[in-house]
Amino acid sequence: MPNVEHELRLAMVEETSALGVPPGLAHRVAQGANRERRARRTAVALVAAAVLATAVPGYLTVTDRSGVASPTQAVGVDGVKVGYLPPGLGAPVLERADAGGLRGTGATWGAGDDLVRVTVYRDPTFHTGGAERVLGGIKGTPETLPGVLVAKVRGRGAFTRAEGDDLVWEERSGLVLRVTVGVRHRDALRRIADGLTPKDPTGGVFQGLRFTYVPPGLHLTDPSTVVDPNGWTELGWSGDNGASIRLLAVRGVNAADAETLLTWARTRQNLHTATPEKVRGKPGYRADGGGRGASYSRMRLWLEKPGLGYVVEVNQGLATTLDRIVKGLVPAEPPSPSGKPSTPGNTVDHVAVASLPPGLRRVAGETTRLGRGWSAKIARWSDGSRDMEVTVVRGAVLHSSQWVDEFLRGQKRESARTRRPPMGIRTTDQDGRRGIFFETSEVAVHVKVDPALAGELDRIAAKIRVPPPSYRP
Amino acid sequence: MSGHEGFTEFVAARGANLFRIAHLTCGSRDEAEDVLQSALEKAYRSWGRLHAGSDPEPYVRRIIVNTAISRARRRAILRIFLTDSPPETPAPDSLSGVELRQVLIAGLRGLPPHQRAVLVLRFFEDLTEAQTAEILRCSIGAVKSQASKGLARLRALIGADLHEEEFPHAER
Repeated sequence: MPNVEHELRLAMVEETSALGVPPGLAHRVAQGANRERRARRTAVALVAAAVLATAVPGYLTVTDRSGVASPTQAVGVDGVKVGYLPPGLGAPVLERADAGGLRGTGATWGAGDDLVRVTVYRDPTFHTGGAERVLGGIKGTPETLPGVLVAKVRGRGAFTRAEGDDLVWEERSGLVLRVTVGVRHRDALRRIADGLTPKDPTGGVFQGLRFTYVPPGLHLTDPSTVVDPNGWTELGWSGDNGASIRLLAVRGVNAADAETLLTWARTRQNLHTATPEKVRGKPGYRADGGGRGASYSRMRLWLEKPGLGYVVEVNQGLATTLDRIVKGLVPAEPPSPSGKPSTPGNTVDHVAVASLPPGLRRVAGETTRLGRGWSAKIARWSDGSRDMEVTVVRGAVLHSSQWVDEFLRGQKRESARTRRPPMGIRTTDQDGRRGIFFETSEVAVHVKVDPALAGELDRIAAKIRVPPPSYRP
Repeated sequence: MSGHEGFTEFVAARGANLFRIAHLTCGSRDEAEDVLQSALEKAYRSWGRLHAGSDPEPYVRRIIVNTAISRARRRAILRIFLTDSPPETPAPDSLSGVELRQVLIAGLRGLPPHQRAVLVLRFFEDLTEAQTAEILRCSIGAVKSQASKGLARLRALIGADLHEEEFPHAER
């Protein structure tokens, strides 16, 4: 029988006897070390700049190394920053790369064994299961996914292949990221994947607020809406060991005042103890909720204004960060409907009224209406004899047909939604005022005009500009 | 002699051996080059602080081995299929010479990264258990245990009788 130690020694010597110093190694090392030094200095400058520009969350900037450490030409791919790439790959080729029914944009550096490709797939309808759909759409990969392995990327479920050259995961609802590498870059696959950052990782503007601080290790799950008369809209974050953050927006009569909001939270959010306390300068509560053990949670809730309340809930493990998270929430407006700053005189709750009949002037003040699961702002224009009004409604119930029936009660409606522009439900109220009602993903709008302005209605409605969805996958 | 010249001289003198260690601990030439380069970059950045006249090789060797282990572990998370395990079926008894050593190298590559590093340091670099433990930042007992397990797996692979082999427990 062979002596294993002896044979192993011989085997290792034989295996490595032909290996010499890789040519140019010392030079490459010196170059690489100097490049790293420069990168670190630039990263320090970036952090310093982030501290000065207080609107930029520091924790996001510290990890941003795109285009700094590598001579490879880095690009953003459809709104996703590429934070790390192996050096020496040159400029990428950008191309369409649809797969699995998702719209894809790919950036490819190098080819063959030297290939690095980053592909960003977007699904504006926010379907879940995007990664599986992409895998299903990969040519040559059967939909039953044999040979595909489960992995994780920053806490998110991901799929890879046995060869370790392909990694695909759902970064957040409607956004699927994929990294594909050639043989030479298999070891860099993870680092490239970890370096991909959507340009707005905080989830953008959500119901009038924006996060500027989220503890490290958490990732955005998705915005979702619980549609019922007591429903709400929420943005969620989660991480390892059950770490989670939820920001809930509650609209309508359930948020008529702070006490009502508290009652709602007791019945709908399992809140059990609460102490009155100003939160962000508004009337609110410090509260505990959830269940026992790991599901125990801490909350802050406050009334932003009559008809709009917020709840922030974190799991017990994040309790010490709750105040910082709440303090880091900043008021934010949704994107402008036209991409340009709106004219305040002609907007109603960020919805622009771009065309007005000549002579009409805005009537001072807005009216607020509250319903179950919705709140509305109503603005009026008049020239003394003719007038028009625009109602903008927000809330979780918006897309339930029951709500539409309730909202338009007492008004005559055309039997079906018109298919000609402007599309919507045409209405006539008891005073003969003609109207058009339509919905988008985040708001509903009802335009009503004096009978004398009936001929202007279509043009007014067609020129109503609604902000694009504040959440972009 | 400037720091840069000293570094270049060190790479010329010891680079090949360090490359061999990297190759054995990583299991592939491409990866070994990458690991070696990043280990040397770390050493280069600290070159001025390395004690004058002291041997920098153990420092670089430690970086290489630990980088290789950590990379292999990361990769193992990705590749949860069993390519990291050597085949369980013993090879025929007739294995010998070059063929035997090829099987041993394949088996070495299939060992868990920490076990592989222990065998490389003990039997390629001929380090003592204490020196190996120092590099891997683990106890001597852990080195003994990992070496024993690693050799046992290699023995099983080539069909050697475990009882006929004597494992060197004593310090060298």
